[in-house]
Amino acid sequence: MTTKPYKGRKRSARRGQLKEYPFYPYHIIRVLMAIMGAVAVIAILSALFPLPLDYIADPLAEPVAGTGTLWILKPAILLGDILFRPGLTVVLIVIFASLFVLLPILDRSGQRSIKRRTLVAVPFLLWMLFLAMSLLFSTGVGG
Amino acid sequence: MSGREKLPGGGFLKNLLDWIGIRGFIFGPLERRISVKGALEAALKKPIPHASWWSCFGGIAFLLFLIQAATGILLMFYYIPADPEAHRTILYLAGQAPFGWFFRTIHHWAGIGMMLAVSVHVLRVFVKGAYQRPRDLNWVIGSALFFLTAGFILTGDLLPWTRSAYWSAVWWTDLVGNFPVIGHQIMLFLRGGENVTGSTITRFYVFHVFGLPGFTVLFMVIHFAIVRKLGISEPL
Repeated sequence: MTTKPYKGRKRSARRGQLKEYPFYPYHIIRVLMAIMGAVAVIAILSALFPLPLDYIADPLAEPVAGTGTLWILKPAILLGDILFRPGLTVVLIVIFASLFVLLPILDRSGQRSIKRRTLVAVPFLLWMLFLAMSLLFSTGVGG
Repeated sequence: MSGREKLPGGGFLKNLLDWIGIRGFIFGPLERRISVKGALEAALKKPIPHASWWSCFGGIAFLLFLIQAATGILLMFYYIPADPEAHRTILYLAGQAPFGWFFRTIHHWAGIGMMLAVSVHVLRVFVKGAYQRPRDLNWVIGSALFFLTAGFILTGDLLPWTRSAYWSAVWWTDLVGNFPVIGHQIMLFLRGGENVTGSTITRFYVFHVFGLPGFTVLFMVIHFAIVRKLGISEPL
């Protein structure tokens, strides 16, 4: 008695052996599916959460508590709160940004595995964690 | 021309249909003139490494940029970058202009989505070690695109001329002003004076609508050309 091979397993085994595939249709379809997902999320968010409009700006009025905190500024605000000095805060931000841009020059090891790049990976991932945490624990996404 | 010889001539009706239909136009009159079929096939059939879903975030960021451009143009039809017209026009957009609230909200969420997609894309490139030679120049251009995306959010935030937007702009331009030696000059350039006023709105509007998109498109073209030339980095 012969048994039929399990098709799903056979297909996945074949897919594991596949090192590369044509740009069209495989990759295009995958990217299009991801894009459609992103568009659906944006459309749902826009329909469910219409953007409120704050009062008109008045430069002569007292600053209202909690304002001046655009979400993208949260990491800089937190860094400023830690350092207490705005001059040092902006210098540190510029240094971090420069290190970020010049990463390929700093890391010329040629190693692609993250386990073999700990000297670069640890500070980079800690910085990303700091950015993510300062955004997550802020008062919400500003308009 | 060789393309003309290969394709059957057809009658008047076929030629007319070729000019009207998109597929007919590409593989008919356009093919006969610039031989687009071969170039299209070479581009689409190019083999790429078996990449994961994480490699889609660059494409998502690009699409969100296109959405931003389209909705931004629609918002420009109504918006006036001056004090107090900026707030009044946004108020009109949000309340009375047809679908104005929807396009404004999409513009807002797509901006956040674009920043998120670019961040995930950067993180993926870092984890995969794809920033090393020969893709090092593409990392530099990509990181410039990351900062340009942040620039879009910073400049776009002030445009509705609201209380929170005003104090945000005051806060971060003050921070820039604290940079040693050239900080104050940069702050004056950004604000258009010592304080955040109507001229700051005009400047931020120009950066948001002309300066940043111009650089973004330029860097995107170079970024895509390098990706096309070197290909997507192979999985680890």
